[in-house]
Amino acid sequence: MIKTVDITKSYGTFKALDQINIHVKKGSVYGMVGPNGAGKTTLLKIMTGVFRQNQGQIFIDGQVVEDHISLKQRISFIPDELYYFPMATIKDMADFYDEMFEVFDRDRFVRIQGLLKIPIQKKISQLSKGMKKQVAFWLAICTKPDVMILDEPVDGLDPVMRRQIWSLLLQDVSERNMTVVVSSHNLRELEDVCDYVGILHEGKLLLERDLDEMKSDIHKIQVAFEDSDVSLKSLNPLKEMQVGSVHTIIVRGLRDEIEKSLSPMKPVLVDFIPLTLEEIFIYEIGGEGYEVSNLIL
Amino acid sequence: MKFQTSFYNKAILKNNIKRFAYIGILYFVIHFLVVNFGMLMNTLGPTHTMDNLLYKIPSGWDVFILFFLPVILGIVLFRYIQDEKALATIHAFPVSRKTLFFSHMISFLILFGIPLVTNTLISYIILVFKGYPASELAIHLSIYTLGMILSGMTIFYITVMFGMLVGSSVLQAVLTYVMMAMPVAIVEFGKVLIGWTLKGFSTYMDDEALHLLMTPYYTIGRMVDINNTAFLLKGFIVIIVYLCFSLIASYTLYKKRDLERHHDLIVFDFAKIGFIGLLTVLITLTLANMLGSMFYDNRSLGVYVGVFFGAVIGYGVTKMIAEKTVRIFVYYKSWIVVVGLFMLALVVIDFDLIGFESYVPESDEVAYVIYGENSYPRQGKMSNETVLYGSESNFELIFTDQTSIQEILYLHETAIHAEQDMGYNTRVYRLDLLYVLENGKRISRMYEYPKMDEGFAILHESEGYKLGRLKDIEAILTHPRISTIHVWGRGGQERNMNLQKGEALFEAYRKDFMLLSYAEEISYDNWGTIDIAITAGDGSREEGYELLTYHSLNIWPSFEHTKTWLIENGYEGIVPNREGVVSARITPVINLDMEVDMSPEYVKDMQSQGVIASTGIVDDDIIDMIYDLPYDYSKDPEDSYRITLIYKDYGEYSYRVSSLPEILKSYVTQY
Repeated sequence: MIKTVDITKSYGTFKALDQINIHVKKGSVYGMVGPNGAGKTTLLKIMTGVFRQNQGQIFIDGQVVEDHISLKQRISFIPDELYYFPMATIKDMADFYDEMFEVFDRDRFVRIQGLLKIPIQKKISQLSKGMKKQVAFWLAICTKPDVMILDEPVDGLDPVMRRQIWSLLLQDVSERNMTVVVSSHNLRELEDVCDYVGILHEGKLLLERDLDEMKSDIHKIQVAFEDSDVSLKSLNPLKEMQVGSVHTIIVRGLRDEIEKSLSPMKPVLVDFIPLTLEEIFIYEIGGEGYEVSNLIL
Repeated sequence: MKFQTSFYNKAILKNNIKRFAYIGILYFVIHFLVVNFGMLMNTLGPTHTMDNLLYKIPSGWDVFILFFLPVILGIVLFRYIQDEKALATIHAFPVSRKTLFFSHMISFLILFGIPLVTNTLISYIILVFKGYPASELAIHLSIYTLGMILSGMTIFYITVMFGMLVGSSVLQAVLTYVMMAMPVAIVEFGKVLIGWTLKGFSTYMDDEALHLLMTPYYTIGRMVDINNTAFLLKGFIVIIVYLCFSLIASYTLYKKRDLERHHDLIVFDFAKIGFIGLLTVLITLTLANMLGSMFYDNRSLGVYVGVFFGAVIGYGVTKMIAEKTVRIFVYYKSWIVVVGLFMLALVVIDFDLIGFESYVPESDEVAYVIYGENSYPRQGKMSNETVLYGSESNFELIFTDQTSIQEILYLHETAIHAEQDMGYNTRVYRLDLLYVLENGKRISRMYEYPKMDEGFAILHESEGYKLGRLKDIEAILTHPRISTIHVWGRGGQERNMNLQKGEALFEAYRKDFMLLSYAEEISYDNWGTIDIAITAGDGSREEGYELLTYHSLNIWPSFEHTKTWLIENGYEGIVPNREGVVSARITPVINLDMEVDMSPEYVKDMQSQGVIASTGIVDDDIIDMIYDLPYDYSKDPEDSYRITLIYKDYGEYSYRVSSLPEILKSYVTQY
């Protein structure tokens, strides 16, 4: 659905993005994670045709985005800093969106109003930051986009509202096969909603993974032996700790195969402990010399 | 399906109109009050002719508004490109930059054009109702409205163009005004500076096309004046050139602009170079002009100091702004180069390393030469337009014959070595020469206050010069708006004559003028004057029209043919006649610069109040002495007097004299 090929963007001598290649499947939620200044916003703005890359190409459904109006009709972008026309009410903005977009679902607009309970005659400038964010989602969702691009989307929203918003988005993902690209500097935020995650750091894409595949490919195991001298080197653990006769290891591979490898060692206890997304990333790329723990705070 | 690939976007257009409708409404009201209302009030007057009405369009206020409103709209409509939040949102919408750009253009046309057209229509309807000719009025008002709209669009796009170059709306507004005026400022300051350092450099820029293209202010100011029919077509062409350029430039810049660079004050690198370069030049020239004026006694020092510090400050400040940093010393190498280049340019000009000052073309190279005394237009002759500005001491001639060209070249050589005479009696304060060579090249020279009577004498006594001057007089006499020919002289009588008589008088005058010596010409002495008045009317109607100008032709003492013609044609009362004088008065000139002295009315007033004697000088011997004093336009404040002769039959005749004999000084009226 979305593919970037060697996207490079510089601000003067500063390289904000360096040959970024990402792949987002249709109907998936793609989380883009990285600390402040990693290049997330720049990449998203290039995806939406706001900024231009110095090098490389970005395709959505095989087509270049910038000034491709029919394609942009199918994309909704919610930037990290929202803008509404000065003095505009929610109704004014809805009318504007109705005029601007090929699709604007008025029924849905009314239904969501019932959910959010914000009067549409209210001037947006008089709303709180969180409410402004809700309005942004409200308007964007009503355009029924094929691609929703969100830059730090739930900042400023309370937990209840976050769940509601995500629920609305995921409903569209499942019902309409909408694709979502979402950036965050907080990996935990995306853990429950993303199918894919890409980590950006200093303008470079450190890795890009399918979360389910990744979770099934890496394991944290607590294993105990009667004999404390048993070596687990044959499993090529990414990390190994030992307290008495109990070993805690992080290993790659399929669960069945790992169990099969452990069996000859006659463990007295084998316990597969679920890994958090944070831990997976730490172990996945921690060995490559990056301060990953700093990226995912 | 609502989507369409379009020149404009309905949502953007409607949103713009909705948000900025108040500007359009305000414009409608202001325009109505200051332009239409004024014009309509004028129709209430007694002379509400078409001519008089047209003189009220434009009102001046409309031109004033024209320089502000499009700038404001250019800033607010494109405000989003200077704002990170707005630009990210708007450019993410399904609308191309092209569509955005032209949607704003249409928004401007609606917000600016509709109030203007509506106002014009209201005026048209009322004026037609008041009896003005409908079709003629429609043509004039259409031209005016079209001119205003084109001018407004031009200023709008110039504003947008500068908006695309910068990352701040404030800078956009400042640059719009500064940059539109900057070429003129640079040229004018540059001309003064070069004029100071390079003898003979002409500060007159006769290339009108260049003049028009330097700034739209000039063209717009003249173009919306629909009375200036001679300029109208040229104005429209120039403004369309401006409009096309600013439209294409602003559109191209918008397409090319990297939106993320709104943080920079100057968004494009090439614009940064232009910004630094132009402002450095302007600051350097300004400082050099200021110090050159302050150090009047040692102007060269002032200019050198001004150029040096101007370049240092100019480059430093502009670099600081463009790079948004105070750490400009890291650019010290380019700084030194820039200052060095300015100083080098000054040395090249000051020491005339290009041989400008000493160059005089060969006579066989010259196709013709336009010679001007205290004159600028450089048409070489009086036209119907220049008749309104020229005068007997402010004229120009064209010479095509080799004899005259050689006389001019001699004059030029003389001028190169001549000193400047800044004294009171300087007659030619600006000598202007424009050679057009056989190869089409134009060489221009200007000398201020050249002290070189010998050179002038040869030229002024030549046939070519005299025929040229007489052609000027013919141009005045054949002007379509000539209204009166008024002749008066030391005989005391003043008479008006019709054009036919005037032409006959001119035949006699022509014979005398051909015999006039240079010494007599510059003496200013005369015994009479022929005044030719030009009015705003068509010449056939003398009343109710504004006097545009009048020309005074001197009747020098040696003009015997003229004297004879006047006597033979019943105008003998004008010719000097001592017998007619019954008394005389000598009064000091009060203020030479303001040309204020004791007018006959003032003297009469003083007499009635008993401040000065009512009878004046009645001693015949003294009157004889006074009568023989030559007219002299001396500017020596200690030696300027006004003689008033009081006649038995014709009232009074008054003229200026100097070098008053000691014996007469006791007769000067004191007050």
